[in-house]
This record gives sequence, C-alpha cells and structure tokens, in this order.
Amino acid sequence: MVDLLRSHFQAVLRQLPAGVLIEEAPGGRPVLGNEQLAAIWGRPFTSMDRVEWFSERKGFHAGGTPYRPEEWPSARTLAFHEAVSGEEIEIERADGSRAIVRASSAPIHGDDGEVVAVVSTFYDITEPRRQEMGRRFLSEATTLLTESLDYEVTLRNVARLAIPTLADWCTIDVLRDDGTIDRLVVEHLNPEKARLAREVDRRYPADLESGVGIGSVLRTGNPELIPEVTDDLLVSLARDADHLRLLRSAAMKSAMILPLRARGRPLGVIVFITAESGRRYTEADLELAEELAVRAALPIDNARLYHESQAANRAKSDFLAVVSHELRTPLTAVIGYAELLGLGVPDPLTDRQREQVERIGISASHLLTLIEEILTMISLEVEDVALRPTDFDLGEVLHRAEVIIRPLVDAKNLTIHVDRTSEILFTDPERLLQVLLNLLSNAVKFTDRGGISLEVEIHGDVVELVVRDTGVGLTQEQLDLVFEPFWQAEHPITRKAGGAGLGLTITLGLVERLGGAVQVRSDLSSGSSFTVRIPRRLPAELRTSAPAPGSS
Amino acid sequence: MPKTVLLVDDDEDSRAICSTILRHHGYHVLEARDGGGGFQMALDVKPDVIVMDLNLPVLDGLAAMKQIKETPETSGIAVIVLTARASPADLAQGRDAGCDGYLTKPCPPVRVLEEVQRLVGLAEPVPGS
Repeated sequence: MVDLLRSHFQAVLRQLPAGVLIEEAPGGRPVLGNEQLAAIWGRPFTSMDRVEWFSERKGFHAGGTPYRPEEWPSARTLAFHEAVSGEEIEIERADGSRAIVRASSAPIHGDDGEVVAVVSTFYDITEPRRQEMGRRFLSEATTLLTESLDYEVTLRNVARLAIPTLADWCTIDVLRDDGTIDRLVVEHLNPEKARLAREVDRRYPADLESGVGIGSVLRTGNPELIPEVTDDLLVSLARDADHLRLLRSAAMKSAMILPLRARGRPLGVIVFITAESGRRYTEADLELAEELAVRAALPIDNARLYHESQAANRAKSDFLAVVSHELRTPLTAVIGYAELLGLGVPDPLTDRQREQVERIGISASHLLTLIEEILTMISLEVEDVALRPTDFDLGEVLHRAEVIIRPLVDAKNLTIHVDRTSEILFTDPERLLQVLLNLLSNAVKFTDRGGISLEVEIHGDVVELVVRDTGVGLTQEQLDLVFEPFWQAEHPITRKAGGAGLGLTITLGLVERLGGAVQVRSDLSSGSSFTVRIPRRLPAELRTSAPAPGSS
Repeated sequence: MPKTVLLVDDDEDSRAICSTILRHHGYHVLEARDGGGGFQMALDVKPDVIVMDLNLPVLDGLAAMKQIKETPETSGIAVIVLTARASPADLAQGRDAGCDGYLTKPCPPVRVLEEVQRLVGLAEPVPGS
C-alpha cells in the first residue's frame, strides 16, 4: 500500500510543471526532489542531498543582495511553521548562470500535528521575466535615443542604462573615417574600475587585426558571445605580462561583443561585460543586446549622415563661390572696357563704333545677369536657403517692396498700387521681400502701358499676395512653361525684355521654402497675375535649414 | 599739382579701367597689387584718395585699410572700397574698418570717378611728417 502510494506520488511529481523539493525537519536535509527541480537548479538532486546545501545554494533579492541561509522560504517554514507563497528569487545555478524562480513552501505535519518536513515548489519564470525586463529596458533605451541631439551623450546614456540590468561594464567604440576606432564610452558599475579600464585601453588599444574580439566583430559584422571568460582567453589576448595582470585584475566573467551597424555599414562596436555580478551571458541575453545595438547604431548613423551632408554642402558652396568669382572677373573687365569706350575715354569713337561697343556691353551685362541667376538657383538647391523666421508686420515688407520698385515703374511711366495692411506674420521677411521684388520687377518688365499692383488678402492661416500687371500676357502654352528654367531666354517675344529667365524659377523655389505655392493666370488681352499663397506662420518642419538628422 | 589716386587691386583689368578714366579726368594715378604694397605706397606717397579691393594677396584689403586708418601719417587719406563682396555684412565690415566709400563690382567706371570726385573735394590733406 505504501509502495503503491509512493509510486503514485512519484508519478504526480514527474507530471508537475514545478520543481518540488521536500526537506525534513529540523535541519532541512533534502530528502526528495523531482527532475524539474534538478533542471531548474542545474544540478542533480543527489548533489543537494545533504544538510549543508542550505547554506551553499545561492539566491539574490531583487536589489541584488544575497539570501542568507535562514531567509530561504523553506527555512522560514521550518523555523516558524509559516507558509510562504510565490516569492521571486534570482538563483545561481551550478554552472554560474542565473535563473529567476517563483518559490513557495508549506509545512508537512505528522500524525500528531508536529512539522516533520517542508515541501517547496519552484517555478522557473526566467524567460517571461527576462522578456519583460528586456522590453522595459529597450523602451527606456529608445526614449533615451531621442533625448539628446549629441550622439556621444546619447550613447553614454544608453551604456549607463545597460548597467546593471545587462552588464557590469559597457564600452562603445566608434569607427572613424580613417578606419581607426575611438573608444567613446566606458561605463562601469564601479567608477574605480572604469578608470582602470580606460587606463588599459590607453596602454593597449584594441587590435583591429585580431581574429577575436572587437576587430573581428567589426570585420565580420557577427556578434560574439563569450559565456565564460577563461584564463586561457586572457592569456591569448594579453600583449605582455603587465597586460595579462591588468586583464586578470578586471575579473571578467562573461562578455558579449556586438557590431553597431546601419544600412549595411559598420559604425562601431558595443561590448557588455560581467564581473562582480558573476552573471553568465546566454543566447537570450545576446538577443536583447542585439536589439539594443540596433538602437544604439541609429544616433551614430544620423550624426554621420548629418555630418556628411553638411560637408557635401560646404564643398558645393565653396565651389560655387570660386566659380562665381572666376566667371565674374573677366566679364566685369569686358563690361568696364566697353563702358570706357562708350564714354569716349581716352579717345572718342565714331557713332558706328559706339553702337557696336554698346552691344558688347549689353550682351556682357546680360551674360553677367545670367551667371548670377544660375548661381543663385544652384545655391538654392545645394545650400538650403537659411531661413530666418521672425515676427514682422507684412505692411512694412510691402512698403519696402514699393519703395525699391518705384524707380523702375516711374522709368516706364507706369502706375503702381500696393495694398496697405498691418498683419503680423511669422516667416522670413527677407525671403518674402525677395519673392515680391522678383514678381514686381517681372511685371514691370513685361508691361509697357498701364500699371502693376500688389494686393493682399488673408484667408485664415494663409496669406495671399497677388501681383497683377497690364502687360503682354501669356498664352496657355506659355503659362505651362513659365516656371521652367531658361524658358524665357528661348522665347523671342520676351527676349527683348532682358534677364536670364531664371527669376520665376528662383521665385517658385523661394515660395516653396516658405511652405507656399505660386499660381499664375493670364491671357493675351489683359495681362498676368501671379498669386503667392504662404502660411502666416512658417511650419515648424521648415524652420531649420539643415537637413533633419536621419533624412538622406 | 593734380590730386593723386592710389589704386590697390590684384586684377590688372580692374586697375587699367579705373586708371584710364581717372587719368582722362586729370588725376595722377599710382597702382599697387597687394595690401602690403598698397600700405607702403600710401605711407611713401600720401595720395589724396585710395581705391582698394578687398580680396588681396599678402595683406587683405580690410587689414590694409585698418593699417592705413590706424597709422597717423596715413589716417587722413580717404579710402574707397571697390569689391565683389556685396552682402550687408561685408559692407558693415568695410564701414568698421573705416572706409569712406563702398562700391561693388561690377561697377561702372563713371561711378568710381564720381566717388573720387566727391571725396577728394571733401577730404582735408594731412600734413606730411
């Protein structure tokens, strides 16, 4: 009967998901345990089968402080006959790795009521806990990534976050353009150790040619998991006796080395090391670390993209400045000499000669305008017009435009009407003025009789500015082409009016920078009107002229 | 004794165009190719007015102009800047360095003549040391 009960009992124990341990009173010697128990602790029950195991087993509170022997649930049950339910303990298994268990214990009473033993159950909840911790950790890391625009600060914060959740020690190396690496971050649980680590790095910089470690991870792009940092490994890494001594003094236990990559390019390496905690990294830890590495690579990649686009823009701007100077200098000389000849300095010319010299001057001036417009347009494209948005009164800008354009209007005996208004806008007043001047001078250029006007209407958040003329007008076919570069220069009707045909293209580019659009209406009988619509307040995404980090 | 104009410009054409119109109108014209030479000539000859480019070798135009304006023997000489630099910031820099006129290239030769005429009439000659 007893045997039958015992075999039933053994069968139940085998079927339970929990690890079960029975320890007898009063000393707590383990007398029975199932296979699940052995699996959770990573050791056969026979190795637990003695009283001392109570003091040998290793467990840690949530804060990391170790369990004293009398603190274990079964010890408390034996001592105070109380039942303990669902206590979470981080245990260290025989191989040094950690697991999180939920432990419960209850007394077993004998026939006369005394406590004869205690039964404990252990559920392995490592995986769900790790995942939960990992998710929390990653979400915190992701938040950190957006907190600073300085990627060095961001990476340091990420490294700090990794300690102690993921590591006792974290270093981040960033690959420089010249192929060398720069140890950007060294974070350690213990500041004293961080200093030691920096000292070791300074004296023995990482060997990028090496077949193991940082160099190999950078080259292959494959992470390395070193569950156990053996003394053999340290010996193979050490350059000399002093290096070996320093490496040994660091007491490294386990390590993970991961590449930081973005868009297929290596950017650096992040290393996680355990020492004091004694923790051994597993594949699950490596997965979490890889997720973190993907996130840590982003700010480096963004900073690099931004830097590259800035450098490219600078190079283009420098080139433009040189081209501009080189093209202008000889043309300026041509114009200057032509003007001297035209003035009859030093000697007077015949009328025919003067006429030809004037044509040289006009053509050269036209070419100079053309060059300047082309350069302005290219610079609009490569440099990103630096917008300087500010609060200002639209009425003042309209007034300035009128003052500047009036001499042109008077010279052709035209009339001009500009609406009076007082509206506070938040955008770039200089760019807006440039747009209005381009449109107004364009209107004057194509108008021989009548006049031009500039009208304003406000529709909610949109400012509408209309430049109207009573000039030659445009056909439907011409309307379709009016914003195309050089269109006008190819067109015989408008060629006599001068200019390079880039004015409207530039105007359109400027208006788009201000977040607006231009519309043109015209017919050959009544002239043309250009309607500019821009937002009263420059949209936030247009306020920085620099390309946003992350955009390519 | 005609008024003396010193042209400081590394571009030969620019000097030739200015000197042609100025000589035509009776000025005595001297030329220098760089800022250092310009300053030295200003010190030696004490011209009535200097027409100075800004992008100059050896000593750039702004620095040369500052030297001229800070040296007692030359500080009274009027200086007209003639440059391709046309931004308001450039203009402000020129003003800060003490220029008396500011013309931007390309500039009609007549404008250079007019500016020289305006200043030479107004500038008091500084007695030599």
